[in-house]
Amino acid sequence: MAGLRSHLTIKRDPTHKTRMRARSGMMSLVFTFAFVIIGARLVDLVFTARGIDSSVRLQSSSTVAHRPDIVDAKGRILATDIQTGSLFANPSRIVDVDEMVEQLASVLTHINPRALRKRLTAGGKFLWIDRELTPRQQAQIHELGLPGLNFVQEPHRAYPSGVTASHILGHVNVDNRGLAGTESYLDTLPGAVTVAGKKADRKKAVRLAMDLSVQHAVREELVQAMKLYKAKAAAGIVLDVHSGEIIALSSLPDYDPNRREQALLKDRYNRVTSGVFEMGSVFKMFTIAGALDAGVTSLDKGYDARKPLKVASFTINDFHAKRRWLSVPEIFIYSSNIGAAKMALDLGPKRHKAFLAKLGLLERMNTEAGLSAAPIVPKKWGRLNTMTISYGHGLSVTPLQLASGAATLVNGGYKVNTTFLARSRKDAQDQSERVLKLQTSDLMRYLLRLNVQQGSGKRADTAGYRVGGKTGTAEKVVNGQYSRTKLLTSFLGVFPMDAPEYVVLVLLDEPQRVEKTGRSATAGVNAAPTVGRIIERIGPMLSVTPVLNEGGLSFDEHVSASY
Amino acid sequence: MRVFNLLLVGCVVALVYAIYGLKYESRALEQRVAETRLSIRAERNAVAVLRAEWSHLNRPKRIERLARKHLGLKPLKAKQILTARQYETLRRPSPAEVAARLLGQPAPLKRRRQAALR
Repeated sequence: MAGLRSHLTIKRDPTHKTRMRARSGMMSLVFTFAFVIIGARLVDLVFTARGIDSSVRLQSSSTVAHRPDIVDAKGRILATDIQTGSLFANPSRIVDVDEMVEQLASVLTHINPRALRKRLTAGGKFLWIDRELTPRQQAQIHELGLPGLNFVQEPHRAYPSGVTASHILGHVNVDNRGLAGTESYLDTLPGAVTVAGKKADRKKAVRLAMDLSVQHAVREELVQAMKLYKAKAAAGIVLDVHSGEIIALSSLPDYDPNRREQALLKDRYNRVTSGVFEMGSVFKMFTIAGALDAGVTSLDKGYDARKPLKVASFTINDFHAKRRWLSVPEIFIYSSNIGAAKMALDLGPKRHKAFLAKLGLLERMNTEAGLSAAPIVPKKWGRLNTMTISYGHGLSVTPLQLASGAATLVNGGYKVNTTFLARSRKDAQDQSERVLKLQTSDLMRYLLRLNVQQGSGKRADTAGYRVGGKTGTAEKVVNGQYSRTKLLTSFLGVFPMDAPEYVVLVLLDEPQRVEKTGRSATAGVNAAPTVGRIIERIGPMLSVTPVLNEGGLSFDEHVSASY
Repeated sequence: MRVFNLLLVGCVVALVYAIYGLKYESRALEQRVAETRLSIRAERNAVAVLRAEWSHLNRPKRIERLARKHLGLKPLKAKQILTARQYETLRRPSPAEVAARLLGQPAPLKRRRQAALR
């Protein structure tokens, strides 16, 4: 009040008039300044600030992870995230329980109507009816127009190819986290798997080496073979010998990754990476390659296979005994244990072990799908070990290791890392090192082809594809003893033999004698023809041109001419 | 002086009006952005579902079954693949056919050659 009174007194004084005007000018300047600032700030707020962050509104509160797609070598989708609805009911809002149950049961055929009716009539406000519905089921339920039903959207991993590539892909848990195979590899990639809310970049698909068509053909043939030979289990691999890519990998019985609970069922494990087996005679190719590479033997050298080889209390005998001297190629094609054992002794335990180690057969293999099972290597590697290992007993390895080692034998002698991911041959070659002489590799190509032309692998021959390979029939250990009737048969095939591109390995667990195989159940009558059939189907898919004998010199004539 | 003040008041009113206008406009735009984002998301999800469904329908297992059932197709045999040159030689009459023609007899081998192609 005092200020106002003094103001009034000042106003009466005419001499103060000019001073007052100056003051009010000052004031208006200050106000103008203040308004300009406020105005500027307002404009600033309008244009830059966001009242409600729109991205916040869009977030789902789900903890389910988002994953990148997995595609095959040709870009076909193998695994992808889709939004699925989970159906829940609010029982207090349901008009007619009986009608709802009846209508729902027409869409969700797997649901038990009686149990559902009981749960719905019990009342309450929230009740899960079914989770992870397909888009079609959602649309159908939506069209029913029943009150009291609602959906929650969650990302869900879908595997469109179903069972076909289960062991390569693996599967995820409820929260979309990888549990096996390539899926578990994705979780180790930095930034690949993100939880909702975090800003996910446009995720790049992960491209596998696997070719879905080849994979399907391999699996289909294995299914047929399992049925035909009444085997308990079967496994197959197709490996690119130059790039180390796994083109196909199947282990039966398998499971549908869309239904992950199946993965836990008995015997569904991946035999190719998680099982170790004594492979039997297939190992003779490593024995001979080792001996040839070290120069302790040559193709024209012979070994005495007239009588069984006795070592301490142990006798080594031949399955198809010839009872005579055998040349090195004969040892291979007649699959002589005696010959292989003697050759391995010439090489000596030390060099034998070192050679197998060089091929990666004595240590755990590491691929994107994690560590494979560890091979079972004898602690003390003596002469007897070398002798039995020369024909594939006393050392257990995973089938993947075997295929990878065989690739080195035929690709010119390079150790190439095996991978599930797509990779160019050039990249692979830059990272690989030579562990064998080129000449050894050439000789092995000759021997493997010879074995299919004249030896135990005849039934693997497929006109035009120049198949080579080696059979292996191992007796399984039952109660600590080798069983005569429970066999594990395998065939390692390579094609085309003039310039090898692919290794095809097939394993059959306890195949039986069937009409078609006669009185035998060895690899030559079951695993070998299976590989033959696989090669005939996948050859065209892998652009391997068949060469038929019509017109001009065939590959086989070339071979016999050059050796 | 009074005129100047009035002018300023007018300016303020105009500015306030303009600012509120802009503000409402930007709100509306924001709303549209949010809606568009939502629909983009919905479309993306739909695309993902359709792509998955497409892959599912194109899975080799199903295609093989359909091809066998409706088209009578079978896995390719090696002898069904020929190079252009082999095809040429196959089309040319064989020596036996030429001889037969010269001797005025019916061509003997044509059928078998076609069978080989099948």
